[in-house]
Amino acid sequence: MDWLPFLGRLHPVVLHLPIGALFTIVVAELWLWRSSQRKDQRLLLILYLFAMATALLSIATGLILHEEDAYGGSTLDLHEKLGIATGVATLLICGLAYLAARRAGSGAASANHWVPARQCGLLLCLGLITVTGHYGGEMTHGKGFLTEFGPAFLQRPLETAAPVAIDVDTTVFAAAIVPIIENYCVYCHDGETTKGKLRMDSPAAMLAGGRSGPLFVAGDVENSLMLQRLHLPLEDEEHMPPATKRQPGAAEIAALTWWIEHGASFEMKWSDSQVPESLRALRSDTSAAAASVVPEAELDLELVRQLREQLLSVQRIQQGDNRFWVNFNAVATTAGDDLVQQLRPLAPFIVWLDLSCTQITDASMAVIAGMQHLEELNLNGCAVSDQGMQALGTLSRLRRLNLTGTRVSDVSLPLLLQLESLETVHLFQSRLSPEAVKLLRNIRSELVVNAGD
Amino acid sequence: MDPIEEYCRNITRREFFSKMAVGAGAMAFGELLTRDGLAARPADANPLQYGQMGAPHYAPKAKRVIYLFQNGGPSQLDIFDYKPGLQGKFNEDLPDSVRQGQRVTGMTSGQDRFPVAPSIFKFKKYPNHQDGLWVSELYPHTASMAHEMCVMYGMHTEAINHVPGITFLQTGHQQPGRPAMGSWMSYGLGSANDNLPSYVVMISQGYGNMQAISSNLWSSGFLPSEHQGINFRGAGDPVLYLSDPKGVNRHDRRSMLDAIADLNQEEYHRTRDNEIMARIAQYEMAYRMQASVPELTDLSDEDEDTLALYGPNVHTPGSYAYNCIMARRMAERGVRFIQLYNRGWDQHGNLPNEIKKQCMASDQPQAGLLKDLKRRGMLDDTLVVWGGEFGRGVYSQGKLTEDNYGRDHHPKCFTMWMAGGGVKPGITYGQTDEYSYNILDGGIHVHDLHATMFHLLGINHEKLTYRYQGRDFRLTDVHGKVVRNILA
Repeated sequence: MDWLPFLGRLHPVVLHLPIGALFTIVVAELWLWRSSQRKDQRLLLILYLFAMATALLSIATGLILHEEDAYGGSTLDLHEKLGIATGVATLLICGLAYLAARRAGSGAASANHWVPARQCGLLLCLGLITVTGHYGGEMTHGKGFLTEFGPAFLQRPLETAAPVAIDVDTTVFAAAIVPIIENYCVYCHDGETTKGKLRMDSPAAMLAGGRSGPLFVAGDVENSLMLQRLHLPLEDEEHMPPATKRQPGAAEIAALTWWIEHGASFEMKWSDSQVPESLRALRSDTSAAAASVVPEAELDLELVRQLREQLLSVQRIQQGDNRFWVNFNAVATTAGDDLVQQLRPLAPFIVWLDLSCTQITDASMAVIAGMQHLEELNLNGCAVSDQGMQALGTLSRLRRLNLTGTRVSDVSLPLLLQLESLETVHLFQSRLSPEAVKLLRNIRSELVVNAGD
Repeated sequence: MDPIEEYCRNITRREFFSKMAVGAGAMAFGELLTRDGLAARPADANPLQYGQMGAPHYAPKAKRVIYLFQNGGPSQLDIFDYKPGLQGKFNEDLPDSVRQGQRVTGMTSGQDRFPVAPSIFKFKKYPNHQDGLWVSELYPHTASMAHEMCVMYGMHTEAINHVPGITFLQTGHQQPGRPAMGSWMSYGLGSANDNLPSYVVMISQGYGNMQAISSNLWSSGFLPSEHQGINFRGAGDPVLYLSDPKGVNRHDRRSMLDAIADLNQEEYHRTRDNEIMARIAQYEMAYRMQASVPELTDLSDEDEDTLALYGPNVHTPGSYAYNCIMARRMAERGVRFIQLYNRGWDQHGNLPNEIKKQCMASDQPQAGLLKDLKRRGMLDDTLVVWGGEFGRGVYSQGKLTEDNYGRDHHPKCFTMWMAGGGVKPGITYGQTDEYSYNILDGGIHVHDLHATMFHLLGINHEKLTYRYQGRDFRLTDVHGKVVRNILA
């Protein structure tokens, strides 16, 4: 049987012995303050020896426990060094106590100088053991345990950095996940305190996992350790964060769940249309408006009402988002340029525009060119030509363009090459020649060109 | 609906009688109390409210669905699920280790033995985006679209008979009474074309053994009835009673509808019965459809090239080919859920002959539909779904000969495919054992299919609920997992 780990686990018990012994010595020293009798000095020596022995035992068990790998980080380092220093200090004061006892036994009349030296050593020991114990406590109970409910002046300001400001490049991870982890996880799982050999203070560390294995399985909510631990009953020892700590709220758990469910991506952008409103709500500073393109306040509801009365469909692409999908399906047989003109005030809000089979002409293209955030444009079956197309050069976010059945010809090829964000273009039954299509495919190999072939 | 609002609208039996006792004056007073706060429907108040959800839960990959339901249970063994190993097992008994005591229908439970019937059809490998898709000689046109299809071998269901099976696929529950998937979609997302219903049903007749289907399958269940599927008929007027009677012009029709709507409004203010509002909405829809449906069903603007894609039957109203091209036209016009039923797949006996006819009638039209959608760029945001209510078993029902056999229902695995609308193109998913009897890998339950389809449409299947009889109902009940591996 391997009994070493068992001894290691005795550390939390044994460590209380030197603490008790040292404080007992304080009482004894005060009680025997004026005594220079030999028997009193010998009693003190025995107490000091006991303190030393138990201190050394604590160090030994502590070192064994360290081998167990459950702990790591700078707090452990500090605890360990201070613990050893305490042990050395007890050796020192034992020596002083021995000298004091010998002097008392020699019957010399002059003052016993070894006694104040021993008492100074005791104070040093007390200081060391207090600090050592504090760091030990921080490891078991987590950082800030002592001061959590303490008076305000003891509270360290929350160490979590201010949440990142959101811009177009901000990731979901940075915007929503990091704040949660910083609030509930890293005080035990960072470079300073590394419980369970798990660090959560960087994406690489999170991917590395800890002693119990990987922290999460991307896309698999049920087999992700982090969520399993979160969902254990609070009284379960394995529940995380530990029952004595602040617990994340439902919205925060939902956010972690969503993030893992959607692949635990460190790259997905906060502006990605997949990000649900519930997640955005975690960031009150940005919420819908961040993903959206223009402040909601500028949306002319009365105009939307009028458009809807004319049977246009003007819908948010998702809840809490003010990017819009506009389609003319219901009125395609009658809708002409004048109806498109009415969209002008809504232009910045429109990201998907479906004009398929409408009666519009090149005259509408100027309005469309004003839709700076347009991502999808469907002109299937519209009588638009190269002349109108030229206006679209300004659409820097256009990803999908459907020109099926339009009059667009080879003249528009430079324009198609110029639209850098374009991912898919449909050219079936347009007037582009096979040569032009081939050229387009050759030059823009990443572009999906559908010519109906 | 907001529960407080709903409570205000409710007139309890007690309230009704107390109002009656005090008389008409009190009734009028009661109405005044409720009118100011509640007269307007939410849709009128907020022009951005589409359906109950207002907007999709998340930005949709698919804006519409074309569901090609193959009614009767097509044999996966003879079309998609290639099992060359069975050729050497002709007429051997199906091992008990495979069947595992599986419940079979009363049609074969009395059989002395379950002899293995390998498919007599030759299979060929068609290129897709993986290492190819095996399809039998029955479906060459469909197979030619392999690079667009996501073929799911691991579908499974709980029902072993037709009506529970279809009802499960269409409503998420084996017993009738729940809203159909299209109704949930219409209820949740609203319409994208106010001139046409958002949920349309078209039925085509097949060959051989045809199972009954009923309007239960496209009923809105407990949802407001304007969300039920509208059945476009295969002969005569596509929609019954849509034409005005002789001598009634459109202006007369309008003033008649306005007068009826006023009366209905009054009744609504008295009773707060949502079905009255549904009725008004339906009259209005019918009025608009009088103008929009003739344009929709007029194929004269289709070019020859397009019509040819769908095969020779495209001009025959009610044929699968006709319904397929209509499906594309509806998709183009913003119909959100287009439900086709293709009847005739229930080949208990004489399967090789009957399935040939059935496949010949469906192969080119559905391949044509995929191709047509693809060419026009519509496949990007249109989700096409193909499949029946279950599959068919490997053992022969009835007499097994070298060139003839039958197959009984088999719920433990069957093949479906999807295309477009955010599904990974050109892949196969899942795997069945050597008898195409049990699923080895990649099983997709009916609830999972529903959850996945809703996901593509921007609906969180756990969040679209309706409170009825004291509890929240949803399409997937308490089940359903989005199959992320097949999402593009």
